[in-house]
Order: sequence, then structure tokens, then C-alpha cells
Amino acid sequence: MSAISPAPDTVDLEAVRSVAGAVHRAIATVIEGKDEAVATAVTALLAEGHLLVEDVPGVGKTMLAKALARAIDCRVSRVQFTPDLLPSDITGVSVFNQDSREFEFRRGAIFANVVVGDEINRASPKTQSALLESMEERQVTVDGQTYALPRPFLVMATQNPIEMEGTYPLPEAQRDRFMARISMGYPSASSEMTMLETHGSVSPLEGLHPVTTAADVEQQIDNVRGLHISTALRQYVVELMSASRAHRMLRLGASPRAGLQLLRAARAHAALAGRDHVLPEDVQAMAVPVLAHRVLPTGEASLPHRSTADIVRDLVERTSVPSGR
Amino acid sequence: MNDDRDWVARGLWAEGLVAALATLTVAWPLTDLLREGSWLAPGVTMVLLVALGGAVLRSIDTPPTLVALGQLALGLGGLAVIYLQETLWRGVLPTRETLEMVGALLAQAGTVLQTYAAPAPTTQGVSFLVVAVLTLTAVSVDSMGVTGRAPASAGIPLVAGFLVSVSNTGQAMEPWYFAAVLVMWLLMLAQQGRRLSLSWPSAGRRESHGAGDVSEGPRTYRGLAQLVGALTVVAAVLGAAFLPHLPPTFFADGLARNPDARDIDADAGDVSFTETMDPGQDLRNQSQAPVLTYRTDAISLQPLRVTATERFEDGRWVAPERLTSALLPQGAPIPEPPGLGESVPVGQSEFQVLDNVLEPPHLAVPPLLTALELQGAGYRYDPQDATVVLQGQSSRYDATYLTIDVGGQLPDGVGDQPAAAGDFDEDLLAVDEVSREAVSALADEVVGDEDNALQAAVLIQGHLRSDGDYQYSLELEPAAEAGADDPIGGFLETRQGYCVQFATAMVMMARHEGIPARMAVGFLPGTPQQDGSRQIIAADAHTWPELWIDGLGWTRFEPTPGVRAGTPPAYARSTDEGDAAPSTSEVPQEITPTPEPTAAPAPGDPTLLDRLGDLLPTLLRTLLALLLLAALGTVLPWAGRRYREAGVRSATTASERIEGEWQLLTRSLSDLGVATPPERSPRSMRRHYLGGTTMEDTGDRALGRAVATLERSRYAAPGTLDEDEAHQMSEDVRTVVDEVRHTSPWNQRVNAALLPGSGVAGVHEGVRRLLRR
Repeated sequence: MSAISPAPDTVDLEAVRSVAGAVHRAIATVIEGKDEAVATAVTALLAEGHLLVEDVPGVGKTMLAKALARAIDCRVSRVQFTPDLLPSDITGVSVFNQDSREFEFRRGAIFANVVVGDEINRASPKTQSALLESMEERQVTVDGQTYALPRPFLVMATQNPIEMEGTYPLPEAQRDRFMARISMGYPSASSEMTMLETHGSVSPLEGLHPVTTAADVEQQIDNVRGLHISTALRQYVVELMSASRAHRMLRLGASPRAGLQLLRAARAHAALAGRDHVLPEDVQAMAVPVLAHRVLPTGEASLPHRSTADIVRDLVERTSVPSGR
Repeated sequence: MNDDRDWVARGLWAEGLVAALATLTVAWPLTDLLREGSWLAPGVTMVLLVALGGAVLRSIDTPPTLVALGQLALGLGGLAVIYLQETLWRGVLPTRETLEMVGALLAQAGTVLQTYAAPAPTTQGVSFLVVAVLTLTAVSVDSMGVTGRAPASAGIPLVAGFLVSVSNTGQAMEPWYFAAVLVMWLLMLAQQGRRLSLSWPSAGRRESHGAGDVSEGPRTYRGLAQLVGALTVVAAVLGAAFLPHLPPTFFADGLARNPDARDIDADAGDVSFTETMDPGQDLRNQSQAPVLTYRTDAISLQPLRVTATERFEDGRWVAPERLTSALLPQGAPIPEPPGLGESVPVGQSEFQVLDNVLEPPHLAVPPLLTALELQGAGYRYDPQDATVVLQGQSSRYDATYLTIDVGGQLPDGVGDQPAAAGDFDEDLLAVDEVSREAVSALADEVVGDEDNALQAAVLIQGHLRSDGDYQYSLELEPAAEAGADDPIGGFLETRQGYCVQFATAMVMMARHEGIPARMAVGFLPGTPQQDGSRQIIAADAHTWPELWIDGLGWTRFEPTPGVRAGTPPAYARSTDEGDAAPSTSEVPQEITPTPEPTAAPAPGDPTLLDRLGDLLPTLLRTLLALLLLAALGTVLPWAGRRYREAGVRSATTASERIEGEWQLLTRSLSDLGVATPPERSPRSMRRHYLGGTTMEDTGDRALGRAVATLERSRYAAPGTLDEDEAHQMSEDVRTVVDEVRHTSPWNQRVNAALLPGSGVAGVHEGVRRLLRR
């Protein structure tokens, strides 16, 4: 993780909102009727968090990832994860240069502002874990040499639900590194109609042009960091985390990193709402996308087919909000 | 296996059984109130049916309302099958006749309950009513206590059913009836308590809150419960001391407690003693239906006489056989009372009957009758026993009669002349053979060598009334020595009895002394009414001896002691009875048939000052109690105010002030019946309050501003709030509370002003702080 730069004294909320709004509108021209998923994706972008898009094939996961990448004028790379993909394909490899008689580092697909990892759970665990270091520390180490990744750095991975055939479930450690998980869900009947009409002949991505720059996004990410979070709210997040660890339907509760990322996501959410401080509502709105993919249900919970999202909602419902400052 | 246990648990079978048993214990006292037990089998069947139906319905997971409705339907169906079988169409569906039958049964039950004293006969109607009420009680006890899981409130129908029995027995009930109901009810509570404590989660909570928190809760509640219990005991003691003791009122009219029972059928005024010559059964009759309503201008009241008999056979009096030939012809003037000496001072009185339901041929008239005028009927007079034989029905009649003037002195020589045996029927001097020994021994002992018949009679009367230590009692104890065929001997031995025993004993003793005597039956003077008339009911029936005294003729005596007897005539009072020189100004002692002992009259005439003096302690106590109540009444509002404003008062910074104002808002609204939600974000609190109240627009906006201020105070960067905003918040909070109060129902407002929940919380907090110190 890169060092957090000191928060600016005054937060330019207008700039944050205009950039986020432009990105949101650009994506919405491609993805029909998935406002909530798009909003979560933009929030994760502003919180500088990685995004995991999970759903059955064909509902537009890759489309969302690619649209977000194209909306920003920056370096984009796309990796199609397959079982024979090697770690060096992602991080890069040192190649011996005959001319200079030296080893020369060839950068892998990870060296980009936005990395779209398609069907990430089809690659072997070894390859998946190659993403680990780069996602968390925003740097790559190959042959003892460390290379920094550009800013902003955002990994957007799509995956099919683990029950589907030919997949390697993502390890918990790696799931924990994604800030938020989005489920696309099927589009509504009218959205599907519109999609069939407009997307039949030409890919809508063709018409999508960048609406902002990498530097601009980085500026807004710094802006979001400046939002105020009161002690009571930190207390609230701590209580949510400890409640998730004591919940009888959860085998694995939320990690301390989850709390950190929840606060960051809540900040971005508050900024998008035009507030210079974070409310319990922001935390509650981001709780499901941020927490649901990190916790593991017990057998008791899977019996009545309760999803982890349901359990997280229940958690929010039961945890009281500390009053006072 | 698990499934089996599940449905047994859902059905609450054991609880249902206990509820049914509780209902049956409520019905237990009815065995004393009703003569026959024919209601018992259907009653038990119905209660068990309701309990069984409820348990089955609960087992198959029926919603509570449907369980109660199902039980009700089952109960109605059961009642229809048991009582209305023949009116049902094909034995299933109710018809118009069914409703008519229900009406008829209920009407019959009403008549029986109003007419009869307990125990009442169990007619089909009474049985139907009792079983129907029992079924409804069973349904309500089961739905409250078992289905609704609130056995405490199931005590209400139980007690209501119990009170009906209590108020209708007319006497104190045996304690075990109440104890049985109490035990069953406590059993229901215990079952509920056990079920509750078993369902408490324990392990999960302790982990999340820490062990300290969990053990803290019950202890606080136990402390509160102890405090409430102690306060209740103190309040009960104070209340018993201060509150006036009112005469008991009855929970429901019934079993002849209805004072307006005039419009019931003609049997109500029926009396039987005119045939049996024994008023025992009539004296036990609790019917308040008047037999006779009359006025008289006489100063001292006399019993009304119906007839007299001289024949005592096989241990009981036999009604006289009336020969038509012996009667005076209709319309003939009533002859002067025989044997009344010229020199005896007499007065004349008027007697006017306003209403009479006594069965003909009997007619109640004063003794020493001189003239009689009937409306709508004729009469003939039997001079032999001075009896009026009514012909036809007469509800109104007037009479004039003689009274032996109590003011005047009886002439000398009255009673000196012994009666000549030849002048009288031999029956009038016949002493009962079986009891002759006991009677003659006692008579000789009491009378001694007194020759004067009047003095001898007064001695006998004095012995029976006061000197002999006889007890008035409607219940006769079996005698140890005298046989069952010797009621007089038995009475003289046990010295317990009512008017017949006393009168018979006096008649026999007088006859033994050679005084002709007969037994008269009639009524005591009855109860005065507000309009000046007097009313006679069946329980006023009375018997007394009439003795032939030379110079007076047939003379009434009053050997029966106690309140259920007449005053002895003035001429027949012995000197030691306290009024040897009766004066005309003396107010005649009130004669009432009421079984309560009459209070001793206060000596002298209390002056106004005395009365005030008597009232003073009561007034002071009442004043003290009122002051105490007023003080108690102000404690809660005051404590509530302090508790609500605690946060505002202790605030030092703007944000503390805002938190205090918010606390004031939540606590004030909670007093007004808008529950405080568990700690949530300000916005969701706002949603909660908007949902729970009906406010005007201004209130809405004020709440919105207050919430926004609170939100910024809590979550925004410090230093963005100032005192002005805190002040604005304070105004907004008052606006919101005023608006909510304005739109609350009045009882809620009164409750919030006088008994605020915050007051209770404040007192609780104060007490806890004191205890900790």
C-alpha cells in the first residue's frame, strides 16, 4: 500500500463529484440498468480499492470492467486467466539481452493503471497468488528487483461463482485483498430489450471515449482521503467487525483490513453524496459489498440458504450505533 | 423422534390441561349454589373439549387468533349437540328453533336465578347457562394463558367466574374453594416461568457482551422487583388504614339478589307455612318479592295474623279444618273480640293494604279485628279462631282493629279467674303426650305457685325469651335424649330453635298450667319503605302463641327471642325486661327480618359538636392521606423532568448540549408513548419518529433540522458547530415535543404529565445511586 498522503485542509468535493459523475455516466451508456453495481464500482475506484465482479457467465462482468477501464485515459491491460497461465505472464520476466549482454526486465500485464483480470478463478492458485503482492503493496519484485506500479492502480477481476465447473476457488487471503465485490445479476426485461436492440450490430465499447485522466482520478482519490471520520464512527466500525467475529452464523469474521477498507469505501461513498464527513449510513451502505465476500458462513447458515450478504445485513441491523462524538 | 417432540411442544398440552383444571376449580363452588349436579358432566366435557381442541390446533401450527376462534366454534358446537340436539337440522345445522330454544333456556335460567335462593334447582336452562359460561371461561383462560402465553391475565376470567359464585352464596365461602383456584393459577404462572427461563439464550450472548453485562441485567431487575413488591405491601397497608370500608356490593344480580324482582311470575310471593304451620322454609327464603304492602296508623306495630290452630298431632301442628257451617255468613259484621273486658283501655287503628299476593283463602289482618272491607272479593269470618276466609282474590283491602292501649294500666284482677275447662274445646288444653313429662317439669319449675294466668304466662314467656338461655337458630340440632317423635322435648333439651319451637313450647307449658292456648301464624310487621308503607316478604313469616286470659280474651305472647321475632305486647312484659312503665312517647323498637344484628342505639342525642368531634379524626386522616397522595403525585412528574433534562443540565460544550437536547427529545417522546428505538444512526431515528407520530409540517421540519444538527455534531469535523446551532436545536426539540403532544390522545397526554415513564426511570436511577452510595 502506498503511503497515505496528508489530507488537504479543504476537500474539493465538487471535483470529486464531477469526475465520478462523468465516469458513472460513461459506464452507464454501456451497461444498461445496473446503476447500483456501477455506483459501487465508481466508489471503489475513488477509494483506490480493487474490485471483484462475480456472477454467472454472460451478464456483463467483463463489459463493466472494460467500460470502467476505457472511461479513464490511462494504461489499461487485460489478462484472460486460463489454467495454463503462468505467474510470469502477469508480473513480467527477466530476459537476457544478447546485444547488451544483460538481463532485461520485460514488464508483465500488471504494469498498468487498470488491470482487467477476466475469469480470475480459472487460473491455478500459483498464478492467482502472483497477483497478491502487487495488489496489496502496489509493487512487483522479480529476481530481487522491486518495481513500483503506476498510480492509480486498480485491479478489476471477474469470476464465476465457485460452484461452476473448471474453477479454482479464490484463496481467502486473495479475496481479502479486493475492496468490494459486486454481483451483476440479470438485467431487467426492459434493459435486456434495449440491450438487444442497440448492442446487436456494433460493440458499445467502440463508442466509449475516455472522460477523465489517470492524474485526475489520482487527485480525487487524494481528495477523498481528506474526509473527516469521527471517533464514534471508528468505534462503530470496530463494533461491526467484532460482531462479525462473534456472529453464530459466521465461521470466519471480518479481518482488520476489512475494517480499514470499509472506512475507505465509506469515505468515498460520503464524498459521492457531497458530504465532507462520514455518516453511519455510508458505512451501512458499503458494508455488504465490502464485507460479504470476506466472511465464511458456518454450516448452520448454509442450511437455510442464507447468503453471506444476508448475514452482513443482519449484522448491521443488530449492531447499535454509538452515540456521542 | 425430533418431529414428535416438536408438535408436543407446540401444542402446549400440559399447559392446556392445567388451564382446563383451573377452569374446573372455578366451577367447584357452583356445587354449593345448585341443587342437582346435572350440569357437572356436560360442564367437564365441554372444558376438556375446549382444552383438547386448543392443544390440537396449536400442534398443527394454527395462528393464535384462529386457535381461539376454533375453540369457540368447538364450544358452541358442543353446547348445541348437548342441549339443542332436537332443534338441529339433520342433527348438524342450527335452525330458527335453535335460537328460540336458546332464548327460552336463558329466560328460564334468568327466572330461576332471580326467584330462588341458593341452592337453586338445576333446570335445563340453568344447566345450559352454567355450561355455556363455563365453556366461555375455558376458552378465554386457554387463549390468554396458554395460546397467548400470558397466564397472569388469565387470572381475570378465573376471578370473574369465581366472583359470581362468591356473590351468590349469601355467606362466607369455604376458603379451600379460593385456595384451589389460586393454586391452579400459580401453577399456570410457574409453567410459563419455566418455559421462559428454558428459552433464554445463554452462551452466544455472553461471548459478545462479556460475562459482566449478562449477570448485571437480571440483578437489576430483581432489585426493581423487590422495590415494587415492598412498595405494594406498604401501599396495601396504608390503603387498608385510610380507605373507608364500604358495604359489599354484588358482582352480578342473581339467585334472588335482584331487589326489583317484582315482575317475575306469581309464585314469587308464595308462602307455604299457612298450610304446614311451620314457617321454617319461608324463613330461609331469600326472595325479596313482597307478599304484602300495607300502611297503618298504629304507633306500636303488631304482627299480622293469618290463622290459628289448636291441634298438635304427631309432633307437628295441623292446619285447622274449617267447617262452612261454623263461618259467619258473608257480609255479617265482625263480632267484638270475645273475652275483652270493658275496663281494658283500647285504641282503634286503621290498616290499609296496598298490594297483596297471598293465596286465598288466606288473608293477613291485624288481630282484634273490628271491621274489614275488601275490594273485588268477599269474605266469611270464623269466630272460633278469629280467621278471615277470603273468597276470591283481593289485592287491596282496608281494616280497623283494636289495640290494647299500652299507656293505660290493665284493670285489677285480669287473669285471676282460672279458665273453666268446660267452656273450651279439649284440644285447647291438651298437652302433647310424648313430651308431657319434660313440659310439665319445666312449667312447674318456671311458674312455681303463681296462680294468676297472665303472670304465669309472662313468667313462661320470660323464661323462653331471656331467662332460659335459649338460642334462636334456623338449624335444629339433634337431641341426645328426646326421640325424633318428640320435637318439644328435643327443643327443651337443646334449647335451639326458631319461632315454631318457642311458640309450641309456650303453648304446651300454658296448657299444662291450665291456660287454654293455641298457635297463631302470620307475619312480622315487615320492613318500612321510603313512602311510609311497610313491606312483608316471605321471610317475615312468624308464629306465636295465643293464650286465653280472663279479662283479655285471646292474647298474643312473644316467647321467641332475637331479632327475628316481634316485640312482646306491653301488657305481657315482665318488670325485669326494662320497661315496666311504658310510655306512649316511646318509639316502638324497629322490627326487621334482616339477619344482621342491629346496632345498639347511641345513648342520648348527639349534638352537632359531638358529631364534628367524632368526624375530626376521620377528616384528619383523610386530609393526611390526600396530602400524601398529592405529594406522591408530584414526585413522578418532578423526577421525570429532572431525568429528561439531565443531559442538557450537565452539558458544558455545544456538542454536549446538542446530545442533551436529543436525549430530552427521545425521553419526552417516550413519555408520550413513542418508543425509543435502540441506538441507531440519527437518520434512522428520524425515520422511526416520523413513522410513530403524526406531526404537522413545522414539526417535521424541526425534527429534520434537529437530526441534521445532531448528525453534524456527532460525525463532522470538530469546530464546525457553535452555540447558536445548539440554541436552534433546543427550540426545534421543543417544537417537535409540543407537536407530538398536541396530536397525542388525551389519555396519553395525561399519562405523560402525571405518570411519566421517565419519572419511574428517574426514581429508579436515584434509588440505585443511593444504594450504591
